[in-house]
Amino acid sequence: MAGTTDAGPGRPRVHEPDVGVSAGRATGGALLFALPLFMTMEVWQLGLSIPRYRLALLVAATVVLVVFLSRLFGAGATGLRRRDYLADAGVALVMAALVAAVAMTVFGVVVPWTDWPGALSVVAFAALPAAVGASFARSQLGAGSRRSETEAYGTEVLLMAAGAVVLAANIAPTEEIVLLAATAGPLLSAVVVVLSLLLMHGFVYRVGFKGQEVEGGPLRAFLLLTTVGYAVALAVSAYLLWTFGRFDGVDASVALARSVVLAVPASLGAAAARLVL
Amino acid sequence: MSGGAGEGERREGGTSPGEYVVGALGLVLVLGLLAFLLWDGLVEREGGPRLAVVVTGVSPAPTGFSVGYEVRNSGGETAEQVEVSGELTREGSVVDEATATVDYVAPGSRRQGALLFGEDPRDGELRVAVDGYVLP
Repeated sequence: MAGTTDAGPGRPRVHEPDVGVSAGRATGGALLFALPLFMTMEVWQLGLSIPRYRLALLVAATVVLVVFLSRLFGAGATGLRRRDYLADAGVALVMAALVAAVAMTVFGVVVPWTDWPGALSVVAFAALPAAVGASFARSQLGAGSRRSETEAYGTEVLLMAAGAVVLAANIAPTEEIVLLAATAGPLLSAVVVVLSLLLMHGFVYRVGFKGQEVEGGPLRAFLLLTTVGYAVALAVSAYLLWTFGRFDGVDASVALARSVVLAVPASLGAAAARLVL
Repeated sequence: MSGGAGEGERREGGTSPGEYVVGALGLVLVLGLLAFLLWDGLVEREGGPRLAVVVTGVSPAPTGFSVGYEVRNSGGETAEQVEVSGELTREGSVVDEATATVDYVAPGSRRQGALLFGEDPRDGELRVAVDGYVLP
């Protein structure tokens, strides 16, 4: 990852980055990405109703994702210093929390001065997608991602997971996933899986985004990136749905059907991770 | 999308002190949030829903009378499809009934609504209660 072309050690410093600039960029990313979710009813309810340990797990997972994205996008010319990308991640988290708190209060979803534990739960939940948006704001807003063109395979898989989260997060909390899965049935679900795989393969191999070309022809690309990417997207979908209580009290086939439905946007996000991130 | 090398030049030299301060604040925020969730989960949210309903007021409605109510959940779990019923009795016999369903009442929150009666609820004995709910 340090192999960017402009990472010469003797390079003069242009200027010190300003905290205002990075905070503003994080705020913009948080708003662009999470505002639709702030205005979604399920988000207001889930913050209160999901079991605390699942919310805590989701917070931890989000922090890991934010740190990973900050590391991927936020490395300066001095290389990948841990404290640099950790500080970036911290800025993203703070600004996301601020944006979520202001938005939820302004929309009247929470009233912090009468029910602070409830308000804190809702704001914490809403801040999570905002933090993801804030952490990739750097590339999203064209501020100059420093990502190199080719990554190690493990990083590539993590990047696919991040892409899956980015595209699935906006629809994951909604009731629509449950309804779509109920109407689909097993046969249509199978068709959906095949279509998702074809779409992914189109994105990954045929369209050929930078860094995702794999030597050895379409079959190798299919096995190495498409199927693995789909598995990652399905796992991300299942994790989100479980967190939001969509797996509670349903048998495995229903849980799978719901995951397959959410995996449609998730797999597309995984395949196009380099495009959406 | 992945940004040119030229754009990347704007951010040479690492991180400013301000960014470290805000970044450290982020760490404090996350740790504080996890501590809150632990406290909320272990101390506050014990047991299932505990629902209580109170009448907040009676006012005339276009066809009869409207009895405002407020459901509170002081328990540890969300109650869904909370059935609220009202019964108006005069001299031992039921003269009017009304029911309403509240979508969900999250722990520590309250929801408001109204029951509609044809008879004046201020005349007679009004009983408003929660009849049942569904767990998520």
